[in-house]
Amino acid sequence: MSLRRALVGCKRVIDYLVKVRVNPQGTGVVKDVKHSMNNFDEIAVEEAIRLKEAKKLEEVVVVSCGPKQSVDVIRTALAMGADRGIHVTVDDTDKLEPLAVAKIFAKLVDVEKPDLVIMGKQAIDDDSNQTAQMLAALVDWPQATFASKVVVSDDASKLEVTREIDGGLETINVKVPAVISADLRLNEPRYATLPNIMKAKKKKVDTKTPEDLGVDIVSQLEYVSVAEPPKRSGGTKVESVDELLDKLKNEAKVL
Amino acid sequence: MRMMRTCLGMHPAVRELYKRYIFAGKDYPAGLDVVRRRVKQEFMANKDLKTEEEVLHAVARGRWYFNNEFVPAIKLRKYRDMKKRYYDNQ
Repeated sequence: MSLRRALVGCKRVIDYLVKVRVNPQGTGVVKDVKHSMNNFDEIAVEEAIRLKEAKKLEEVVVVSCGPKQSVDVIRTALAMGADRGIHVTVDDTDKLEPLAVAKIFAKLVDVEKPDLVIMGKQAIDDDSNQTAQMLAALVDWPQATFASKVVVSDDASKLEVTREIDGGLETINVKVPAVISADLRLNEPRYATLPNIMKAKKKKVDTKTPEDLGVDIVSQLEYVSVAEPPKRSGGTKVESVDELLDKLKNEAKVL
Repeated sequence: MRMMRTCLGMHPAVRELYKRYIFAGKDYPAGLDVVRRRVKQEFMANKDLKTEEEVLHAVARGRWYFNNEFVPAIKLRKYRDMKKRYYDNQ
């Protein structure tokens, strides 16, 4: 017995090596930099593919919500070994909140009827860590967040998930269908090979809009301003011990 | 794969290997420019290889390095960066 289908969420984010900068207007961050798949979502995709390779899962469907460049992220996941993709086009991802994404996923769950939804535990840009939990609540499925190990039972009716919690590990059993969010130590994502990247171009990617799915993605929040953390002020060199003592006493007032 | 190498042009396996490095080089921590310079240097060091056997031997070495050093370096950097960002604040 194996699970029929898994939905895997992946978000297009600013690459983890890029130094993020605030734009001059102070309304957001500078966008024209290298983007790639969210690192935790890579782990989620890898886990789904490993389950498929272990014959525990039949089909891996990748979902990404975002602008048209998000297709690149879907293609990367397809090159890693996923079967097909769904692209939900949303132009302004800044205004796309976790609740809206969870609602989109809830609709896709109705359409695709998966046995499993795997997501990264959080995106490395907004660090929300909410989508998986909200989705589990919306579709009323059990959730196994921060998974560091996933074992599918022989009859594919249950999952044994080891979770990373404060100060240790917790092992829980959940019934399928379930929502899993991937933690850092779940696995080591593979690197897509060049031939597989070429093959991925032939795989199917459906494009949908939130309106098609009947989801209202209007933001409930208003961004007031975005600012960089305060710059560290430079230190000074002192000539002698006396000067140091003087500065500590009079300027720093620590003595 | 073409078995005979014409005196003009590059062996297809060599070109394929070079492409692999450049493609993955975008994700390499030191950056694509460094990768391109170093890889080109290494490839040029083998430009005088004459026989098919010698070329394929060098390509095999290049593939080994790619799989066992180059890609793991990218993965390790990614893991360490995430660990530092989210797990080392205790």
